[in-house]
Amino acid sequence: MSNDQKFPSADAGDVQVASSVTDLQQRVRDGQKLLPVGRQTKAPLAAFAVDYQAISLNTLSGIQEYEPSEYTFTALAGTPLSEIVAALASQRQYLPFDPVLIDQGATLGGTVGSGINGPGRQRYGGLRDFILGAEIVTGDGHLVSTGGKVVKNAAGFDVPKLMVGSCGRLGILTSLTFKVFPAPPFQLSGGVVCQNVQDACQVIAQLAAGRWELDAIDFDPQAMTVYFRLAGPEAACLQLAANLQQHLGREVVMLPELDHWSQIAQLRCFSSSHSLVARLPADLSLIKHLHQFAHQHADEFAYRVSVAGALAWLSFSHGVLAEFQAFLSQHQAAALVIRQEGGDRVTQPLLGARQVSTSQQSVQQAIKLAMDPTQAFPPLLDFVPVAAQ
Amino acid sequence: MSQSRFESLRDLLPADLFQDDDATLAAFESDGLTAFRCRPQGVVLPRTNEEVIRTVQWCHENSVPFVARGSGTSLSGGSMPVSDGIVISLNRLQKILSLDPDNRIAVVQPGVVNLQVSAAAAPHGLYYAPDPSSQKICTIGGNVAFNSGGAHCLKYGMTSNHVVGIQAITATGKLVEFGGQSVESIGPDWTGLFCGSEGLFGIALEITLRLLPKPEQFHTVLVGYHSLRDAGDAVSAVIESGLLPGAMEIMESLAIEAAEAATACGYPKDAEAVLIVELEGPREKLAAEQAQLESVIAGTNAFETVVAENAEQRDKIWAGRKSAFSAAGLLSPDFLVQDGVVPRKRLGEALERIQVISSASGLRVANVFHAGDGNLHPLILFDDSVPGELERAEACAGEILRLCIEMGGSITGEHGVGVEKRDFMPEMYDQPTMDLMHRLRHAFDPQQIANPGKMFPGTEAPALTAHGLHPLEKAGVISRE
Ligand SMILES: Cc1cc2nc3c(=O)[nH]c(=O)nc-3n(C[C@H](O)[C@H](O)[C@H](O)COP(=O)(O)OP(=O)(O)OC[C@H]3O[C@@H](n4cnc5c(N)ncnc54)[C@H](O)[C@@H]3O)c2cc1C
Ligand SMILES: Cc1cc2nc3c(=O)[nH]c(=O)nc-3n(C[C@H](O)[C@H](O)[C@H](O)COP(=O)(O)OP(=O)(O)OC[C@H]3O[C@@H](n4cnc5c(N)ncnc54)[C@H](O)[C@@H]3O)c2cc1C
Repeated sequence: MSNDQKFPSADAGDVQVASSVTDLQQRVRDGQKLLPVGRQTKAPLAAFAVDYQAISLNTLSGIQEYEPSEYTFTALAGTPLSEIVAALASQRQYLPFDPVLIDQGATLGGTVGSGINGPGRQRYGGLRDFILGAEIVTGDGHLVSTGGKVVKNAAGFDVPKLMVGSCGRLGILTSLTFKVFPAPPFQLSGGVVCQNVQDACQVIAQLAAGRWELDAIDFDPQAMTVYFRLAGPEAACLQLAANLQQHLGREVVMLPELDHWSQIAQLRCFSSSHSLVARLPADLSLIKHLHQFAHQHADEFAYRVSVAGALAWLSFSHGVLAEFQAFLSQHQAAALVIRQEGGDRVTQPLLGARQVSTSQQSVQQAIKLAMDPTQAFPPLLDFVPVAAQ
Repeated sequence: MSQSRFESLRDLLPADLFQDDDATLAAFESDGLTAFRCRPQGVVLPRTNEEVIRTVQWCHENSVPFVARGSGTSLSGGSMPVSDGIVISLNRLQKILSLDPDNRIAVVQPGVVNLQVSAAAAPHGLYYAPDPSSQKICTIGGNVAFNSGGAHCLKYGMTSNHVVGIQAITATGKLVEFGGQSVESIGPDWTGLFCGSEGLFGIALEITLRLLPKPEQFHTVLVGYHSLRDAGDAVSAVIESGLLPGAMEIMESLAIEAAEAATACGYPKDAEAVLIVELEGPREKLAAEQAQLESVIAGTNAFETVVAENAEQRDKIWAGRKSAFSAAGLLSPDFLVQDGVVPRKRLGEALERIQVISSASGLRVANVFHAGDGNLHPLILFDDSVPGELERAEACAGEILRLCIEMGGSITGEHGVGVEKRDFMPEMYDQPTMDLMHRLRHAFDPQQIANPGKMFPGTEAPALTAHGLHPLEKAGVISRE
């Protein structure tokens, strides 16, 4: 949070606070153009919605229902994750996808809006797999209750999932219901030092398909180390780690304190000279190309791999943006800028140029209008090529 | 519509792809909800995506309704045809297009049968987790449309939790690609919205699935109780202990009786209820967890506990459970199955209320359920040859659904709304929410030609005929959970 405060954007002072759900509905009905925001932890996602009034849900905060025996909770969208995580922990439960930016004040609504998962996504799935229900103020000012409050429900369209990653463009989340799991009694992290990126990708694939049921599998190319996390009864974790080492036939270092997990949890730039943090959905073959790109731009670009290769976290300076855009276009990939910590800013958060057909765009636009018939919320994020410097 | 208008569709497609002879039409009249029947104008059996696309575009241009169909095992009338439209049968699109063991992803055509995905993944030590008990026969396209579940939903989620990308042709003839090859994505989760849309948005042509490493071992326990409440309390005790079982199932006496008669599964004698708990994972974890489970069960009012010592004993325990529905045929000529969900802590109360509903209606109800996630499967037994029994059974089913809504649950956990439960949608969702769902449907299908008459109330109800087993259940090919 302190970082964001160092670099307020032009509209930063102009965040209004919603006093209630009815207030939100009334504003929409009055024709106000709004962008819902939480605690500004992923500022670039909300920026660039120039003509829209940022409306904070911080006062719509609090856990409404928490029934540990049901594995579910319902909380208002402005509830800080820290409050939820603490309440769950007191009952030995947790959100297995490792929500990020907890200490920075991220809210439940902003977490769903940005659709960001931490390393724990590997084992049981991400936000999309744990969201059960959502109350939403739609663009016609109505409050809708989508999904359900029980762990299993197949009735009607799955609107709660649609809201994951919607970046405040489809409606204002006011209340959310999630599935939770019992927290593992013990966790154990380790690292496998690899020879090169090919070797690392092979290790990742081996770990992910293996019998050990790893909670998380990440990779730090600077340390050329694949990190993993085991969870469960302590004795079992120790035995599994030993077996894993034997199976791989190479050294496995146990790492009780691993900075990597907390760096991902805080989405910090990996180098002080970088100003941007972005996420890039990927696979192992893209990771190999990314490695080359990072190598070619060593001072300006760094990356980490999470979720067994399905996600790369990027940290880079503004100077490398044009080349990186070209890289993304070449590989038909897209990345989203999540944080900017000073320095030059991107002009919009979606990077790359994945080819989206006009027919696809028209379907997505039709869904947007179904959620937001009066266009009370900003348009869907789109690829706008950032001009080379 | 005059017959000649379908000629232009016939001409559009290679010979024999469009069929409208009586024998073919009769074969497609109903799905797993045999109570409902409707004869379509024709059936298209495409062999390529291109042929599906051409057919859907023709439907769009001519405003002709179409119903996508996989194996027709829907239990809610989801794949039942419409009388003025056609059926697009996707069984011939049954290729696994690619399987990437390193990224644990498979891309499949919609007609691929659920179990075939796991079979193809097995050499790599992987499997496809969602396991509806129709998995030997139901298709991935049907699973996606219904967001199907299985016995292992609590831990691994439903179909949509395992779908990372979908290529589809919408009802307006537009080709869309949602999601991609990675479990992570950017932007609204369009793929998640498409899953569970019950064929109302369009037809899925290529589906990208997430594969998981196969669990190394199972630990399956069968526990007998003298009362249903005790079995329910045991479920709570397991949950409170912090264990996360792969499956937790309960059957009550009437269902046990049927299962015993059908499969001689050897469930504890005189049990009012049995509980099946299954843990799975690497052997080191299981060793610790099975001890924990043992002590939890010891603290309940169990009168008999059987632990499966090997795969054969595990199969026997599951055979009893999986046969429960088809075995109901031994207790009664006809039955209806519901799949409402209630909060887990209210399971006992729900079952008592179902008992009251059952007594009042004079019809027996056998209960089988996914106890871990509160998903009830009450089997309402009746005899269609007795005048009025079908109507009473339907009224009874309706009361059970209302009970689920009243308890804060859902009208369907995994079988979908289809034709059967569409009238209950406005009871579960308020008007603004129903309006939103109508708008979403409109976004994909302004003409309402994709699977009309499903999910939303207000359309003419098709003819009711006798209920009973799915033909494939009668033949012993599949069973239900
Ligand atoms: C002190 C300060 C510093 C700032 N610094 C910057 C800066 O460095 N760069 C910059 O570009 N902007 C900055 N801003 C402006 C800021 O980007 C936005 O105004 C907004 O507050 C950012 O919140 P957030 O989206 O990060 O919150 P988050 O809670 O992290 O939200 C993430 C995403 O989810 C959406 N969302 C949040 N809550 C909901 C909800 N309830 N329903 C639906 N969607 C939701 C948001 O629209 C956003 O797309 C700053 C603002 C302040 C007050
Ligand atoms: C004995 C038995 C046991 C069962 N057990 C379970 C169970 O344990 N769990 C469970 O969840 N269900 C169960 N079912 C219900 C059923 O098997 C599932 O709903 C299954 O997903 C249907 O698949 P299908 O291929 O038969 O689809 P169909 O019945 O042919 O179609 C189902 C729906 O999907 C649509 N559809 C089909 N293909 C596509 C496509 N490519 N694109 C878009 N829409 C499409 C149809 O229009 C229809 O609305 C059971 C059914 C039976 C008969």
